[in-house]
Amino acid sequence: MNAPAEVHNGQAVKIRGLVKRYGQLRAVDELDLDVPRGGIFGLIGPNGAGKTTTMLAIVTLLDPDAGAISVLGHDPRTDIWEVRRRVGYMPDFFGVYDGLTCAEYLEFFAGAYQVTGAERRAQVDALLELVELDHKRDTDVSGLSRGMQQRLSLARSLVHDPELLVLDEPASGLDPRARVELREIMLELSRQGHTILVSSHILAELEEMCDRVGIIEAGSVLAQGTPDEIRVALRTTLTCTVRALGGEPALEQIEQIAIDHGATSIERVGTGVRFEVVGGEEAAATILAALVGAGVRVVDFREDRGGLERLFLSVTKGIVR
Amino acid sequence: MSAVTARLRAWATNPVLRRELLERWRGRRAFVVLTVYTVLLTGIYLLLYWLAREFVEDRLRFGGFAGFSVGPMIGRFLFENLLAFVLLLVLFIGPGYAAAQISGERERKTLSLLQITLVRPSAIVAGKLGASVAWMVLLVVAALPLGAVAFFLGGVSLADLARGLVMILVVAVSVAALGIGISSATRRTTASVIITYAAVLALVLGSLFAAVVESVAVRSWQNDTRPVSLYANPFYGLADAVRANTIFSGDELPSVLSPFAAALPDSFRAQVAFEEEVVVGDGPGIQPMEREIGAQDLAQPTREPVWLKSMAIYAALGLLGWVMAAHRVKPGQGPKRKDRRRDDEREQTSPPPPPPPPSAGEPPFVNP
Repeated sequence: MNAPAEVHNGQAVKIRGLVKRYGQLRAVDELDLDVPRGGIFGLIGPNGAGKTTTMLAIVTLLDPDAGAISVLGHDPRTDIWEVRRRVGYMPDFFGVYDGLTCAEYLEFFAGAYQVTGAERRAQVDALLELVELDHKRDTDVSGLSRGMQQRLSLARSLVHDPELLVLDEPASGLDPRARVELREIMLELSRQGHTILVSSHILAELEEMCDRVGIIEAGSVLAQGTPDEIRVALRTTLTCTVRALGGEPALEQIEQIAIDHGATSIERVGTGVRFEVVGGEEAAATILAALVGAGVRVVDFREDRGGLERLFLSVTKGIVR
Repeated sequence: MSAVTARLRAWATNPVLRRELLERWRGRRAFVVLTVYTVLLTGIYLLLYWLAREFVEDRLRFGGFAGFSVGPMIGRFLFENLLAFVLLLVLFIGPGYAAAQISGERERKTLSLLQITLVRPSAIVAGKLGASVAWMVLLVVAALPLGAVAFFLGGVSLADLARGLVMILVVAVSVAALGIGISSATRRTTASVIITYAAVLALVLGSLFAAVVESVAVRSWQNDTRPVSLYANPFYGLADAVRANTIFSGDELPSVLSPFAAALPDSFRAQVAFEEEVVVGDGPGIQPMEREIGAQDLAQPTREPVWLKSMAIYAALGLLGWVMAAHRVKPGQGPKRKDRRRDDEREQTSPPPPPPPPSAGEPPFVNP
């Protein structure tokens, strides 16, 4: 209720001019961030960029030195309890209570969020099912695998059914299968209406699930928006690979159409053609339409999976502090 | 009344307390510790009883204890030593558990998970303290059946027992609160345990040393006052609470508390009262002792309430620990270090990526 009016605009998170100093170092330096309600927002940045510090400030665990923060319309510094009631946080570590089973672990945190009685039991059952740990409900948490612990940690952050989920490196240390499972759960949570703010080093993974991203370096957000918005604004290139039926003539036709539409770095890759275009997905879609219009029998048209990674490298400067 | 009920309900439903009790009591460890404790206590009790009987029989053989009833004498000897031993165990076991409470949460990285919930800092401390105290209360309660033996022999009043238990419980709660306070201000459990035990040692032994120094400094024997630091000694307070035997004539059974009782301000009067009542005591019957010593001593208007002053000191220490812990468990109020940034933000382990080719020749934009 005491949210700073100048920063609250129906956003899940809105930050302006956030500063956090540790001694002489400004870990977060005039950071601005807008996380809209709904969807998954990815926070990308190298180690020491200020991602965790920003997240801690959002979830009331850190008091910034300056700046304005609005979380679901509330200031985490003054509306502490309201923010905690509506935000779930999953840190990049798993805190283990020896001797508690999975169900007891969740029941404890549900109690800590004042979820009581039958509601608590129902919530715990539902969450164990969501994270596919219902068969482990009576297993000691210290005996879970890393992937299971991460899923249980995610369930813990959901015990009070928060509107906003803040997940700090949720996939760190997980094997590929566990990552896929975790990603599926996050997508399901997004479909259920939760807003998710997630940080990760695994850019390809973020690219697959995030609607929007924020690129952070040296304590500041360098760019934010959808990956395509950032590409367009930065005028960075998008790498596409096209495969088509028709053999060599078709490939030559693809190359020509790509050249006609300003594509660069055109090269043959196996049975396809790879090229770079400026203008993001809009430009790629134009080329695809031109190919189809010219009668090229396209069987595969894909953006290079390293797109977000390339974007990240384009935006950041590799500053070491 | 409803406010009290609400507070009691909040205490009973404190999730931290529930979890602590669940973790502590469910495993085999609690059973083993309690079994070892009671076996040890019983063994010591039997040993004391054997010593007392040997002493008494030896004296009787040489014509000692003329006119004395030995049952109450042995009963009081056992009772005082039992409570002293329970106090010693509380001081020995309590800090070890309490000192790991907050620092342990920090070490296993669960404190921040707790800090972002709706549990208030004071409720976190209350839960931790409740769990620590519950453990110590159990140790005290487990010793009560042995105390009943002393009642059977006589020489002990219910008031003595009540005052003694209250004193021990206050010391237990206070030491636990102090341990939790220290735990909240330290990063590592090892450091917390060491500092807490050092504090307890300072209260038990340091207070005696300080009392000697203070006594010499202010020449307290000239005006029959007692050093203030002596009041911080829990055994001194307990000796007063149970009206411990002060006799060193050689015809009696001095307990562990007797030296402390001898240092009490009104030890001479108490000694006279004890002698009078022991003489009139009759065998194992405890009723005369209970009526004539317990009630009479409580009614003494001039008696300095040493045990109450001791309890006040411990209550103040406990309050200090509570306030410190409640403050320190708030986010960002933990133990300070030079660079408090998170580890992953303090170091950049990977080399920076090579700068991208100047694709468009424009600087990165901010917030499109």
